[in-house]
Parts: sequence; C-alpha cells; structure tokens
Amino acid sequence: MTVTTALQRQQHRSAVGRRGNLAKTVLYTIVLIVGALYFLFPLVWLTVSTTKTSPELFNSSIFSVHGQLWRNFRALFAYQGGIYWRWYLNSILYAGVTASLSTLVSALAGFGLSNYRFGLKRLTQGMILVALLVPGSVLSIPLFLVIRDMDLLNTYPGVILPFIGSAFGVYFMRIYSASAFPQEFLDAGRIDGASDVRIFFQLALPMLLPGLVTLFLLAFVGTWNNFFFALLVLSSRQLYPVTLGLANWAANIANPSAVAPPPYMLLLTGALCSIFPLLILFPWLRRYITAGGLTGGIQL
Amino acid sequence: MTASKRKRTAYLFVGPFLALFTVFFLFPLGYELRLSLFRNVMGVNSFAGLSNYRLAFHDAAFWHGMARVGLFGLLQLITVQGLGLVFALLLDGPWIKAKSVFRLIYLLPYAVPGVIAALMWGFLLAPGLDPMLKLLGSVTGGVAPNLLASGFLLYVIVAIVTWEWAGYNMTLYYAGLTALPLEIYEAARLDGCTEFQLALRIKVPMLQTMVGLTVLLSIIGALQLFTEPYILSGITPVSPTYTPNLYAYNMGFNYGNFNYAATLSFILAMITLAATGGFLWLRSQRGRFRAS
Repeated sequence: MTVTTALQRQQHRSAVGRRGNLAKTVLYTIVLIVGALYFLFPLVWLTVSTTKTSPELFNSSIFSVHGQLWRNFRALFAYQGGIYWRWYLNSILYAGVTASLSTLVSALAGFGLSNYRFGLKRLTQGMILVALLVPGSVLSIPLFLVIRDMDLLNTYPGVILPFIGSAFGVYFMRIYSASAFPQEFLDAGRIDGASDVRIFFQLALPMLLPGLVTLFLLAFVGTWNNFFFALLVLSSRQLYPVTLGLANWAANIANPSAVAPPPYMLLLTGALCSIFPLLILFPWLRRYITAGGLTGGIQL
Repeated sequence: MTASKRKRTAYLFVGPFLALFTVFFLFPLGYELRLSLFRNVMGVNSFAGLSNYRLAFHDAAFWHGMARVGLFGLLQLITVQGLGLVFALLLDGPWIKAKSVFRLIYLLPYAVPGVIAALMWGFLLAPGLDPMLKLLGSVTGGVAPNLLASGFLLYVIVAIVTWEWAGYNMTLYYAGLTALPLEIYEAARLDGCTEFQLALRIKVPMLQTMVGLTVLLSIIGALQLFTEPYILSGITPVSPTYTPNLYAYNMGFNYGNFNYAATLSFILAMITLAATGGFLWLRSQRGRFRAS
C-alpha cells in the first residue's frame, strides 16, 4: 500500500477545496461540533465539579466554577491515610509490570512463530486464533479457582500473571516480526556466527521497537482499565488498583440507608486524577495505536 | 545448525508464552468445562452430566440477558462503528477546518477507564444526584425523567459505550483513509464522482478490513458486557441477571454456585465463538464470491 505524505495530501486537499460548498461546510461543522460537545461534556463537568464542595455540587449550577479544587485534592491525599495514592501506585505497578512482561513474552513468541518451523506451530497458531475470538472474562471463574489453588489470591502476582501470556500480543508480534524482521536477517546473522538468541536481542529487538511500543501501550491501557479480574482476586483494599477503589467508593452512592454519605468529592476528584496517566501518554497512544490498528487490520 | 537444534531454539522463544497460555487459558478452559459437568451438594462434588446445561437451557433470565446483550451489540454497531465511520468520512472530506482539534477531542474518552466513564455518566443521570436532569426537569416543568429506570437503562449504557469508543474507532478509520493512495481519488474525480459517491463507493469499501476488525472486537465486547451495568448498579437498581456475564459473576461470587456459573460462562464462550467465527467465515465467503 502506498502511503502518501502529509504534504501531498495537503496540496490535494487545497486543490479539491473548491468543490466543497459553503452550506455543506457549515452543516458538517455543526454535526462535528455537536459530537465534540458530547465527548467533552462529562469531562468538563467532572473538572468543574472538583472545584466544589459536596453541597455546592448539588445546589449550584452545573458549570459554575468554585474555589475548592485544592481543598479537594488535599482531602483526597489525606483520606484514610492516603489510600487513594496507594491505589494509584498499585495501578501504575500493575499496568507497568504486566505491559513490560507481556510485551517481552509476545516478542519472543512472535519472533519464534514467524521464523521457525516446529511441531506445535500449527496447533499454537490455531489456539491463538480461538483465544482471540473469545472474551477473556468468560474464563474468570476457573481462572479465579486456579489463582486460589496457587495461593495467589489477594497478591500482586495474582493480578499480573494471568495477563502476561497474551494471545493478541503474540498474534500481533508474529505479523509485525514477519514484516519488520525478514527471515534473511536471521540467516545473515547466523552466517556471521551469532547465536539465534543473540540475534534476537541485539538485532531483532531494535528493529521491532515500534511494534513493541504499540504493544506495550495497548497492554498498559488494558491493564490500567482492568477491573473485572481485580474485583475477583483482590480483597485487601491495600492492593486495589484505582478503578476498583473508586468503584468501591461508588458502590453505595444512591443508597439512602447507607451509614455515612458517600465521599462524593473524593470520588469525583479521584476520578479526575485517574485520567492523568493516560492523558500524559496520549500523544504516543495516538501515534502508535493507529499504527497498531493498521497492522492488525490488514491481516485478519 | 541442525534442524533438531533449530527446533529446540524455537521452543526457547515460544516456550514462555506456551507455558503461560497453558496455565492461564487452556487449563482454565478445560476446568470450566469440567466444573459445568458437576454439581456441588453440601460441599460434595458429584458428576451431574449435562443437567447444568439442561437447567441453563430453561433459564429464562439467562436468555433474556443474552437477548439484551445481542440487542446492545446491534445498537452499538450502529452508534460506535456507524458514528465512527461518519465522523471519519466527514473529517476526510474537503469541508472541515480544524480537523486536528476535532480528532483530539473525539479521542479523549479513550484515556478514561470504563469504570470512570460509567461513574461519570451515572452521576450525571442519577435521579437525586442529577445535575443534568435538573436542567431537563426545568424544561419539562418540574419532574425530571428517570433515564436510569429499567426501560431506559440499556440505551444509557449504549450512550456510555458510544462515548467511550466512537472516537477511538473514528481514529482508526481516519488513519485507514489517510493510508489510501490518492491516485484512486483523482481517477474517480476525473470520472465525475461526487464527494458523496466517493465516500460511499470508494472510501467505505477500501476500509472494509479495518471495519471488519473493529466489528469483531465490538461483538466480543458487547457479549461480555459487565463493567457498565455493574457500576451503575451502585446508583440505580440493576437486575443481577442483567447480562450473562453479570449473571455468571453473581451466581459464582454472591451465591457461591461455581458449577452453574461455569456452565453459564461456558455457554457464553461458545456463543461468542460462534458469533465471531461465523462473522469471519461470512467475510471469507464473500471475499471468495467476489473473486470468482
């Protein structure tokens, strides 16, 4: 597929720009602005809400900005000995470790599948395809029992280990490796007398880097958002990721018989803060995830 | 290097994945099947044959939940994939200025975890909390409608999921459109093709692999719907059997019946496999039909 440069497209656009008439421009721009309002509305509401006190949240108009932002942050920091920040670190740990390890394991397996013939190859690829077509959550009950029997309930490895061997990751790296690191490179390295393992780490890994970054980011986002399995495996609040902790605070939000009113402001401030890490990664997410979508989409 | 040595090297590379995949996918899959064939009475496991499946087959709540996620999947296809495609085509056409601003805003929800998205929308729509419904109430004259009431709940979830994923899909489609060669457009224009025909006849067909992939992911996502109804259940009453996944979760972890929960999960897995496998098969048939 030829990829045209941005400059070419720009020139092309201005050349056809005359064709778009004003009425259409106005109409379509309005459509897109309505869309933009839909996507922005909850985020703006959330940001504005964190500047209020709890009574102000219910009694002031939606978009009036108050001056309590700093107070809410401090309260979130102090609540129950700063448990929220513990959750935050847990989430970073879960996402970082899971993404790193699963990227490495996927790169190894993807490289292996694209460069070698071996007995279990067809079977492995068939099983990967089946795993891709079934949502992971349908195995959560036996997986929970496996983790329990391994004595890993309510531990860090209990949440991390099941997600390192990723069928999608291997599938993706097999395709990526086949295009970014052709078999001839492996043969050339062998002629130079390097071992296959050394070729992988010194020659292949650098060439696979863009694919590795894509996979790392996808796994990081996936783990950061993961909620279901953490809900099953973790019972100690000290080990919660942010998503589970906030869901826990929210569990009785509209329950009038709850002992104490739910910590609305902590919940909203915590929700806002939970978005920051992925916002920081956002420029890379945009670039690499579209690239990942293109690679996956061409093959399947 | 000899062939057998090469094979050993191959297992060195693929081994770690195979080991993890066996322990955390294949074994649980077999375990789930086994669980579904047993019954636990007073702590004693006994073989039950297919009786759990017979029970599930007549379990109206389970099939209602299944029909619900089926409907949800169809609606989501229209809103998430459909809107994503429309937005991408509009942005790719010659009409819009400030494309990058729209693209940035539309992708922002991707940075928001599903739990947080469900929480925000739940907050915005819950009667009693309802900052937005107050606005609506003042329009309709006093009583604000309860959008989280059971009849509306599914549509609210569609709106939440659309909010989370439409921009992401738009981003993928837009990237796909940008990768198309310009010569095709030139040729089409020379033939007097309008922008609308160009979008419908050329851009959409060229995107079909990409759209196919996102539809596949969408089917899988819809059938395993859990997070949004689970979170909303803290804000509004949600049936414990609302979706198959929620039903299996409650059956296992609230009622302690792992055998029946495993049965429900296994049926869900098979239905998902049939749906996704069937979708892929249909696509390959169509490709063959076209080629011949």
